[in-house]
Amino acid sequence: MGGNTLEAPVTVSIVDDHPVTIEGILTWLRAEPRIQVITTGATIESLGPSAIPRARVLLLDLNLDGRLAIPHVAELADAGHRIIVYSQFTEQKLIMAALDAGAREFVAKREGRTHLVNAILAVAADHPYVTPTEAGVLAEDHRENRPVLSDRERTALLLWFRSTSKAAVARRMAVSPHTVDMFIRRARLKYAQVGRSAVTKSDLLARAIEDGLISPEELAS
Amino acid sequence: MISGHGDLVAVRITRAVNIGVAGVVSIWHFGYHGSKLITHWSDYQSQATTLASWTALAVIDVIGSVALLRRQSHAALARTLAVAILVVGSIGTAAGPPGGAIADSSWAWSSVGWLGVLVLLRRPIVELGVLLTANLGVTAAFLALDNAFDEPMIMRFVTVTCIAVGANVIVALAGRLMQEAAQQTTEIAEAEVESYAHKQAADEVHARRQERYEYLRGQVESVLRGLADGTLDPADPAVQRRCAIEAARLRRLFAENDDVPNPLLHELLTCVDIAERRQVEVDLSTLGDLPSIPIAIRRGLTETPLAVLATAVSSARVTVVSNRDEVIVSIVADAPPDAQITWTTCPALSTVRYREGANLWVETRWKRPSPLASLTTIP
Repeated sequence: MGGNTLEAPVTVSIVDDHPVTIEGILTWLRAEPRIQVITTGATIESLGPSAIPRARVLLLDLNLDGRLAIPHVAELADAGHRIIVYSQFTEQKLIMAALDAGAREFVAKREGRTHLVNAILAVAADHPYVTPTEAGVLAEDHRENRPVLSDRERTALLLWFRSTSKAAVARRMAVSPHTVDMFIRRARLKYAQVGRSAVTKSDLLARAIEDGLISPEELAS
Repeated sequence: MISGHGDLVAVRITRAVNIGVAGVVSIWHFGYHGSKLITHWSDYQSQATTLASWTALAVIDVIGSVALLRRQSHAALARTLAVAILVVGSIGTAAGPPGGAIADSSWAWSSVGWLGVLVLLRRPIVELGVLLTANLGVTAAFLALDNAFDEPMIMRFVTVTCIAVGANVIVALAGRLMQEAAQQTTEIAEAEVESYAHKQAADEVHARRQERYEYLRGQVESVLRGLADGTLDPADPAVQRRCAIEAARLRRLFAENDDVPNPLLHELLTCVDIAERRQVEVDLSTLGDLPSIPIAIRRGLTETPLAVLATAVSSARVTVVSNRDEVIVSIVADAPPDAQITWTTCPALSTVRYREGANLWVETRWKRPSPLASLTTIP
């Protein structure tokens, strides 16, 4: 499986306690032939721990019935799920907690269809995808144990947070959009390396080596 | 600088009065009566009792002076000391020569009066009156018991006690009047401070209002005048944009007065609100905790987003990034190339603009004045 459009569509499960949100996401994703939603539910339990079908990507609302789903993120990540946390809450701490728990990416609900679709396709193919909201949080992470980002990686993340296109970021940094994308993805991979171990993390890092984003030596260091 | 002025006057006058009274009473007891003791030593019936009672009153004088100068006025202490003075004074008079209660060698009755003034200075004047009357009674009783009341003695008693009591009362009253005057000065000064503060506040409100009015007059008035006299066409997109910008400025001015935890965001939101009413989709994101920002800087930071939002056609992304060094307000919007975007002229701010196809990207940056700056800067 991968990002190849000729292959079978990416399967997605959605967990959100608001039916209207699920309906909205379904409408957005229905227009995208590369994605197929196979199950939806209001709670993780309603799908059943063993009954969660093996969708390629699990789209999880961070706030289910007024409770934060961070512990579930860790559990599900350990069980091998590729999780995209989807939330209207964009506090830095919350986003970092979701990523630390093993979520592949964070998409803010207000970030819209394009980012959601791109994030699902990237995560399904084990590529890093950083939304502007997530980029800002990674760039302004000042915790002691944070990974060391290069100046250009940090610059790219912050400009990506403030802009609406990577082309614009590329123009300001006087590099190509591809290079901007590389800076951003490398920054995300550095976080994946220091984060807690998750079964699917190795897929992400293996894919990064395959794509030439990082070298095996960098990974070992 | 008016604040504290009244306090100072009250404190200084009270202290001067206290020192004056304590000084006069001490000089009287130690100096005048002390020398009487020496010169009339052989006249006293019991020299030991005389010395003991004089010493006891000296101790009370010291206690009373210290309490007065420390401005401690306990009713119980003052009354106890007053009773002790009367008792000890009577013992002192009893130890004197028979019939000599107000003789040249006498001192005790006079010390009772002055020490009474000292310990009861901060008590109601009635208490001093009671003590002085009791003192006169005791002194008269001694003279009567000694059968000393002949005609010249009565005359002497009246003359001497009138002078002594008169002097006691005058000092006590003068001290009291001066303290009252000081108190009044304090109150007047406090009232002055209060009215000064009211005036300051009113002046400030007036100045702010005036400033806002001046600010608006230059901008809004010309648009309104143009619309009124027909020189500006409401159908012209440029005129519509100008109106949108001025409307946003008005809203921002109103928002500046709101008492909210985060004024910059609050003011930006009013600009966003106006854009959203024009069906522009606005995404506002913030990163980091915003510091408190002076109003002139806030106005500069919001000026460009305000103008760009007012001219945006369909969508805009506004971001506010804040860290310990800088605050950056950034806007990307599909503003038309011919849009008249005003730039902030605030010297503390720098602005950069980029055009990327249909999008205009403008950022206004405020370098926070901090000695610890330069650890991290936002690219």
